[in-house]
Formats: sequence, C-alpha cells, structure tokens
Amino acid sequence: MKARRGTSLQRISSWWFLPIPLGRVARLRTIIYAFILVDVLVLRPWVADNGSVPGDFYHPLFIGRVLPFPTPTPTIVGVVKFGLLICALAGAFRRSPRLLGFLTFVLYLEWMLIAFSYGKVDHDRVAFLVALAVLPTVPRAVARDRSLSEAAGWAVRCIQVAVVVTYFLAAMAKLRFGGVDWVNGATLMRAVLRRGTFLADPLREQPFLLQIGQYLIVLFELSSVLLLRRGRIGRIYLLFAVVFHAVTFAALGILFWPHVICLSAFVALEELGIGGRKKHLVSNERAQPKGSHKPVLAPSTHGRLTVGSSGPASPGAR
Amino acid sequence: MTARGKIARLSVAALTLLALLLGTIVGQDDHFPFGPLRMFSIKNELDGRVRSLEIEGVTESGEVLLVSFEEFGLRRADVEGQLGKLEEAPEDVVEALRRAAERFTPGGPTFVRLRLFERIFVLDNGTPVDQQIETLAVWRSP
Repeated sequence: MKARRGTSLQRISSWWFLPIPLGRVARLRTIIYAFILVDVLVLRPWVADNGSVPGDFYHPLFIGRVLPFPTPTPTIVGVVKFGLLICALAGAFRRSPRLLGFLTFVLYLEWMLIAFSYGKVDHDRVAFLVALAVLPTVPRAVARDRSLSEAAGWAVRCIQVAVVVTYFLAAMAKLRFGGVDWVNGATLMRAVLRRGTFLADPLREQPFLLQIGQYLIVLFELSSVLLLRRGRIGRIYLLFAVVFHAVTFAALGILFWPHVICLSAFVALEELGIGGRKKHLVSNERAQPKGSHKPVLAPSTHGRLTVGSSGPASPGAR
Repeated sequence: MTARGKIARLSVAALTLLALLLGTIVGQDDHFPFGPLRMFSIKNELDGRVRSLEIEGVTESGEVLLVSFEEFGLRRADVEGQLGKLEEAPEDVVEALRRAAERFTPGGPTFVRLRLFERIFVLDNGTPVDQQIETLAVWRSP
C-alpha cells in the first residue's frame, strides 16, 4: 500500500516536473512580456485614465484591501505604468529574469487593481497572471538553449494547467450563475444583439444555431483537460481552442487576449525555426527524473516552422 | 531540483488551484484573480428582453451619430455597472457624459448634445421581434 502511494506521488511529481528545454521558457518570456507592452499601450489604454477618476469611485478589490496598494492618483498610475513598461521591455529581452520578472508580476497585479476597481472585472487573465508568477522561478535561458530543466517543466505545466482550469471553471460558473438550463437560454443571442459584428447579423434569425453553439461551448469547456493529452488529441483540441477564439472574435469582436497568448505554452516553441542555428543539446543528467528516457536531440528545424513534439523533452508539446 | 523546491512548487500550485475552485463555488468578482470566471454565465430567457446601452451624439452641423463607448475612453460594462446611480444622482451620469465628450478624440466631431439610452430587444422564443428605445440621460452643451 505504502509502495503504491509512493509510486503515485512519483507519477504526480514527474508529470509536474517533466524536464523541458530551457529555450521554451526563453521564448515564452519574450511572448508574455512583449504582450504586456501591447496590453498597456494598445488594448487597454483606458486603464491609465482611471488615475484621473475621483478617489470616491475607487472600490478596491479584495486583494487591494488586504495588500497595501494605494488609491490610484495620476502620479501613482503614471509611475506604475512607466515601471511596468520598462520591466516588461527588459523581460522581453530576458534581462534579469528573476528579479525583474518578479517586479513585473507585482506591477501587473497592481495595474489590474487599477483597471478593475471601478466597476467591471475581466475574467480572461488567470493563466496570464500564473505565467507572470512562475516565469521568474526558472533560471536565465536563451532561445536556443536545449538543456532540459525541471524548473522550466514546472513553470510551463503551471501555465498549461491554468489554461485548462480557466475553461473548466468557466463551465462551472455557468452552472452556478446560469443553472443547468444555461445551454437552452438566449445568452449567445444577447451577445450577438449587443456586440455582434456584421458576420453575426445572419445569426439574429437563427436562435436554434446559437443554442447549439451554447451546447458546444459547454462541451468544449468541460473537456478542456484533453488539452493536456500529448499527441493527436491534444493537437486537435488546441486547434479547436484557436478556432473557438477566432470565431468569437470574428462574430462578437471579443478576444480574451491574455488567455489566448497563454495557449502558446502548449507549443514546442524552442523548435520553431526562427533565429536559430544548429542546436546542441546540453544534457543535464541531474535534472532527469529516475527512470526517464535519455534526452533526445530534437530534430533541427532550421528554416521552417515546426510545431512538433520530441519525446519526453516536450510535455504537452504539439 | 531539490525535494524541498519540488514540495514548495507543488504546494503553491495546489493552493492556487484550491483558491480558484473556492472562488468559483462561493467567490465574487471582488476576489479577483480567484473569483468565478463568469463571462457569459448569466442565462437569458428565450422570451426575455436584451438591453443594450448606447450613446448617440448630435454634432454642431446637426448630424446624429452613434458613438461607441471606446471612442469616449469608456467601457460599456463599466457604465452599465454604474447605472444604479442614475436614479439617485442623474447629474453624475450626465457629468460623466460631459467629461467623456470633452475627451472625445481630438480632431473628431464636436458634440452639442449627447443622449444615453437603452435599446431594448424583445425576444420571442429566442428571436428578436421588436425594439424599444429608453432614454436615460441627456447632456446639452451650455
């Protein structure tokens, strides 16, 4: 009995800490931190305006009341914005990934408090915040680094799990707020009427199609754990996810940007043939869990975009 | 990685998952980032109504334009969240509209009148069959 428990613990541990090339974390850093620049400057420029809103309108979120974050003023918002942009820029170029990475996480959290303490809270950033929290736990790395790392494996696994959990818990929230009968309601029709693009106009006459859509959405969210399956099922599911977000964007103009960015954690980014020379594997035997395979040199993918997996070195890689 | 490092990481992951689960079951938006992921989770009745908040502006030349909230630097959901205030303090909402008008994209049209209204779609078995307009607040340039 004891031995069996030991085995299952080992299995849990080796699943969470499956070593992956450090290069993937290097590329993820570039993507995640560069997105902050886009988020602050392009997607949500209104956040900065909240500093000019009278303090009475500031109703800090729970974490804002527990942690000593100040009431936003134009100066505070300006300093946070400037600091966040500098840290994110440094992060995108992978400078001081631990210290600046941690600082970026704190500043982005404060930025979210500034954004969401005036009425509406967005629900598309669980995975992104997880990414910001875990990336600083991985040592410095460059894009071509093929050494396997358990720390990198854990960080990427956390982002993947956060993406999966986001979908699954969204279905649970529908159950809580909308009830089992949510799928038979007119929620998508409401979205189409309120924010539909010209592509969604024909759907105004097709409530039945929209109801089918509601069934498919819940099915998709409940089965999100399949994203973690390696091989064909995981790849197909990732494709579903991308199509789902693309259709939502085309029809309703809604894109859960930070969440979609985190889907990249399911891709073997280190194998993408951008800016790479012939890659060398620096094997890190100590990082290998007992009984795992010897590290395999991933095929050189110079000059072409390959999104493939290469044995044990690519958990969840597509 | 040391065993201690692994235990610490696994514990943090487990606690985070637990917080997210709790947030989904009993939490509110206030518990961000652990609150329930409630986007589109409210069920609309097939024979209900759909309300859509909109702004309409009249320019100096008398042209009537539908303005998006983003163009005003506002978010529709934020304004909708504050509609409750309309009954207590309609002047606050009108004031917010006036400020929004001031901030309107430089070089864009100057508005002499702004109207905040709700477009109400009446649904019959899921299909919109009628539209009504309900004016909530109006601002006129002095």
